[in-house]
Amino acid sequence: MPSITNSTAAAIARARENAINRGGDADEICPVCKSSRYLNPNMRFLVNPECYHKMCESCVDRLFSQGPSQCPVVGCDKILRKQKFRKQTFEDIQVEREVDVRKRIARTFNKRQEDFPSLKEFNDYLEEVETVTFNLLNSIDVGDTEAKIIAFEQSNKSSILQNAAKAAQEQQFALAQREFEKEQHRKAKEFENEIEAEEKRDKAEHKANLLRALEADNPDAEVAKVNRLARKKSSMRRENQERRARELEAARNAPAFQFMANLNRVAEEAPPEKFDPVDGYDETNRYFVYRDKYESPWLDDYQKDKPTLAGGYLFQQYYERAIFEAFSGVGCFIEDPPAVDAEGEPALQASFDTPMIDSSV
Amino acid sequence: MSAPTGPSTSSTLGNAKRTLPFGNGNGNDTPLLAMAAETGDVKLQNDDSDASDNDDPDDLNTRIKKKYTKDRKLGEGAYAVVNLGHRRATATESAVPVAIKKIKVNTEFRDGITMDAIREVKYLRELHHPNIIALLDVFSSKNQNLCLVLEFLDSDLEMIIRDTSQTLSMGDIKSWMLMSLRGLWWCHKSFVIHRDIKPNNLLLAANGVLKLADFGLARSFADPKRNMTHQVITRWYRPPELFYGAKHYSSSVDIFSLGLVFCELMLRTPFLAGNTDLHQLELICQWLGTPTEENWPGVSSLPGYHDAGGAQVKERGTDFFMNTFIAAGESGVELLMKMLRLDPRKRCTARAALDAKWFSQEPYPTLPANLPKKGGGKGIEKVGSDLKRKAGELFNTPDERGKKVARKLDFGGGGG
Repeated sequence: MPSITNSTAAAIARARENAINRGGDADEICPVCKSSRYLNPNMRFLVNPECYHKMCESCVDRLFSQGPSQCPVVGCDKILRKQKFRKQTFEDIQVEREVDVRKRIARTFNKRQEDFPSLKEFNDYLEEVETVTFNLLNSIDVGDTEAKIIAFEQSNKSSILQNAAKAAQEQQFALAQREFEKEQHRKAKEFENEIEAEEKRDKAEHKANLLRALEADNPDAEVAKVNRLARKKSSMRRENQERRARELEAARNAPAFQFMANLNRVAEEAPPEKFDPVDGYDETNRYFVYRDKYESPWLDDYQKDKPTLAGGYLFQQYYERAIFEAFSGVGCFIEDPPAVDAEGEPALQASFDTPMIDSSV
Repeated sequence: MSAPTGPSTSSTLGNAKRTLPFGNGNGNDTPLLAMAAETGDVKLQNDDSDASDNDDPDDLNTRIKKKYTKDRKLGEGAYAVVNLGHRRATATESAVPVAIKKIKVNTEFRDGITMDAIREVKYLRELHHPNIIALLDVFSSKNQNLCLVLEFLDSDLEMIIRDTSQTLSMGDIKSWMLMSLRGLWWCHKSFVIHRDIKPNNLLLAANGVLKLADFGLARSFADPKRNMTHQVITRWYRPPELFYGAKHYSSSVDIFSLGLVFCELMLRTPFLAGNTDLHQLELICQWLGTPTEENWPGVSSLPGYHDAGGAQVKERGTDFFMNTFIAAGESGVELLMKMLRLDPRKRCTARAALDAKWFSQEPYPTLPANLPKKGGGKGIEKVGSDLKRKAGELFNTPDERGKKVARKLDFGGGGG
């Protein structure tokens, strides 16, 4: 049935033309497979931040399910991965790209004003960051700029992490603060409604009372009584309102949570009594002292041996060891029972009267 | 930090106990360098003296072996099997968890045990310090395998560094540096060079205390004119003099390694991660400066010295370190610079490093108990695999090694 096929093809062509003519052209037709939204109402367009060429979801599935491959747009040699495809946020693809670049730059260059000694230096820093961003956006010296970014990232790794953590904390704080304000606002609104309702009720009551008073035997006296009552009530109500408003105001000014007052305060740790570099070890030698140099014909020539000196060999350490080993038995008496001092600990013995390494070497 | 022990707890010749070459019964300390005295005819007493107490090595071995039980295997490598075990509770003491490292014999050395095991036993028997892993006992199993009973530690510094979900404060870093330097100071004071300082040899106890471990490459200070090998220390932490093939070096090689660990604690990634020895030397030249006769007199006389030629980088000064490691503060950078000097003679000693202003300034070193931790299931497996790894190697299998390099390259790409 050629006629039917022909007419179907014609219909499709017409649909395409219509779609193009309708003005929403770019949005309605996939630039890769040319299928239009008219035929596939669920069509979604995706972009990849490598090159930002737009294509429909089914094209992405078709082309990149088997792993990374080249962008189908003619003249674009970028290799794309399916994982990186995402929905476009902004209509203008240039804006989309700029936002991506700025996001990436902000992740790395997250220094704060307090990291700089003065506002001037902070502004200089911002200027430089802006230059980097501009270069990336306009593809000026991309290689150089990338290298610069990597160098900065490498050398500021820890401060970047710290600032990121700080920013996350601040964001959390701001979120909590906003929640709190919303809650306060809701309470104030409720309060106003309540007041209004109360006033209305009182007015109605007053009216009813008045009517009842007019029906009584001596209307003048009754009316005066009702009016007095109403005045008293309204003044009481006003007092009540003022008190509650004050309470609300106080609540609004108080921090949302107790812990917030302490959030960014650094714990004040008591400094350790006295820093001891060796943690209580005894470094005294009771039986010997070291000299800087000992005469020895065996060693004298060798001490000028260049490779030995350049390799970092320390003759001082050799002397120390020799002297230490020579004296390490002094003061030990094998027959004696172990000496015990007042705390029940064996007393210091000569065997561990080790030398300390001369710190000036 | 635990109460100062050290000199006073080390037993003395006064109550000397006989230490058989591989193992003695009491898990107690042998005085430094007292081996000579022990081989003499010193009449000894054993802690757990009972009717069967005698000097027969076999009996002694059985007694020690009975003190421990194996609980489960943590890992197995070409070189050793690591088991988690515990010391059986006695009337006076409760059970203590231990790691039992069984050295396989006859894998490489047909006529004995590996050098690593000998070194480990030799030096750990002598070093007793809160910041050095304790070798509690040594015994031999029924088929003559050597078993080292080590203090059980559940994580290491590498895991902390890699766990980027935790932020490390300067106080934490200071505390770890302080503990490592104390351990290293004790080694050097006892005339031992560790020669394999790196984050995964710095183990962390459950109470946060850091301990130096893996003495498989350690050796005592060489006498003058005696050669030492330059094929030691894991590449990323190896100092330049070893790349130049120096045969005579000193404890300053450990200081350089620890300096790089310090950098790594701040950067959270290895500072100089070379793919080959040559690449590593290139990185050192690039980041720390090119060794020349000016900044390192005599360097060209080292056997493996090679003139880098081309662009030479001056040895980095305060400016570079201040820019790169600003987080450490002025005094921290000062210490780091002293530890990373190119000329080994200009590097500070562990003792001098401990005197650095940095440690007594704010922020004060965090108490070990308050340090970030990463213990638990995964940690145990990791340390198990660290213990069985051969000294001087970074990874257990070639695959694992490749993986890390890939990750590193990816990182360098600057997250896009």
